Amino acid sequence: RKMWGLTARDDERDTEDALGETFDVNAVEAPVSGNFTFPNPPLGLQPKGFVNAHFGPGSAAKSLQFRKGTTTLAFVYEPLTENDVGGIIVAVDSRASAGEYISSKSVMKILDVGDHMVATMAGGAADCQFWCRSVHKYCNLFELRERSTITVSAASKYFANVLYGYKGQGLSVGSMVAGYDKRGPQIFMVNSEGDRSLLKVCSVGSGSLNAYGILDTYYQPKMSDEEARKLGRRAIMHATYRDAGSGGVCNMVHITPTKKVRYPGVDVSKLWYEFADEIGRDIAYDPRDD
Amino acid sequence: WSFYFVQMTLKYDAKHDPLGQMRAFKTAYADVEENPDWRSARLIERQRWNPYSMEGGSTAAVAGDNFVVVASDTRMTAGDINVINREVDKIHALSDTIVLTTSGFYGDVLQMRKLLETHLHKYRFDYRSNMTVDLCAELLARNLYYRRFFPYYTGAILSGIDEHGKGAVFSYDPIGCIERLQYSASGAAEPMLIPFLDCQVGHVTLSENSDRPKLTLERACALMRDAFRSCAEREITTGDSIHLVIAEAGKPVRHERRKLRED
Repeated sequence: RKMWGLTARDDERDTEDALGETFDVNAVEAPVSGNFTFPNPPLGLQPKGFVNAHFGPGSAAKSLQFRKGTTTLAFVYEPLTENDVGGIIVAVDSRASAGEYISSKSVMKILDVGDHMVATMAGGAADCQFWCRSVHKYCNLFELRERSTITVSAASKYFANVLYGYKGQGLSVGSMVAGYDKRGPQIFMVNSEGDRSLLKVCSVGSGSLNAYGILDTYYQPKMSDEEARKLGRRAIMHATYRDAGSGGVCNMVHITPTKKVRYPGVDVSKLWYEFADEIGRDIAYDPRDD
Repeated sequence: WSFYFVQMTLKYDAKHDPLGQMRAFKTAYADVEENPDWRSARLIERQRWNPYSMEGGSTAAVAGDNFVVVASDTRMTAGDINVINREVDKIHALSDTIVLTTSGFYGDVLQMRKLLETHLHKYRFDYRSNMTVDLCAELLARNLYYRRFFPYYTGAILSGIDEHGKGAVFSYDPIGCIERLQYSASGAAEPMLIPFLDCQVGHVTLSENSDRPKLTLERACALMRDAFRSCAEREITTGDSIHLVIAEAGKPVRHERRKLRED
């Protein structure tokens, strides 16, 4: 019914709930799983077009547009020497823009989904926060019920299935579920279009093309821990340099076989000066004319 | 079945412009998606239904070590032109530790406030103690998202004193993206208030080595008054008076009002 819009019986449906009883139930009671449906606009209006018309670009609500997040990346690597640990590096920027206005420069885009898994946020910020919380809740219930940890594959499959249920309704989620389980380190990219792919190197967001440039150039399957961290930071820095929608600080998480390590955020302009020093480049762009 | 009746409205020459056929197909497909055959004139009329309107005004909040200062103007406008009320309360103190302030469509603001008050009341009944601002913040984020497909037209800021006695400010987008910050602003003058607060409270223009002035309650109140006074000069829907609400750890909530420009 949602997909095909108005049917012949929709006229009577409008008057069924004249007192707004179902609306009150949905608004005030906490939704019970299975009983909850998102309230849609009345008159048979499709939610995607309605939300786009009133909150999208070109609408009257300039500062009330939804926050969108931008460059995220993750890659799997193996340890080079005995001193290294290997695992997954997940690096993100921290800018959220509402239209052209930067509504926040300190968003945390790496969200916990389990004790040994994280999910990143790209696309709609509220959508990612809500659905990642929902997946986290599912993972917790799974572990309590089955008494064993959930695999990254199962968690990302659940995530993809939930998103597929809302396909076409205007959700915007581009998330990477990354974690270490009995099958080793895995990264699954999950999409609000219903896409789910297992990848070793992945980047999502408006600055992802810039990040891929750096990742493709410098990625090696075997790296030391220090090299891997530096690669993550370098890719984010280059993405924020050339993409207007990315910026802020670079947050990073290193998922090892035994634990998740969160690194404190580093301002991307500081990163720029560090990397420029490394290659002996001055801050002014000065192409020589020899 | 509708595929066979699609009209290729764009002319294309398959021999000299092979991509033209693709372009024509894409435009025809997009056209059918936008204007399906089964949509009657009555349905097109319904698409123009707009339940929202912006009532203007702006709000801001700053958190300190053990206090929170929330400020707003008190003007309500209709369509950016008429001033319909000069003494509107945009800050709602839900308890001694939770203060909600929003800008946007006033109907949705009132509904949101009623929803939060109901939840706070229910929490007190269930658990026999008052809800803390951290829990209320997550609750508001969830409730905003439950309306993902028919959103509340509001930019909400929830502030208060958290369970450790520190000031907390949570800012939201209309569908509930939550973030805890030291300061936040929302409303028509948000692009003017945030740079001011970035400079005076976030100290982004100072170098790392320089001294930063301490954010005391007096400094926070003075900054808020200055911020709104300067916004009223340059923003048409902000003005009439400043309403300040100060929540301190262990004290009841205080209200303060000062006159602003009425033009």
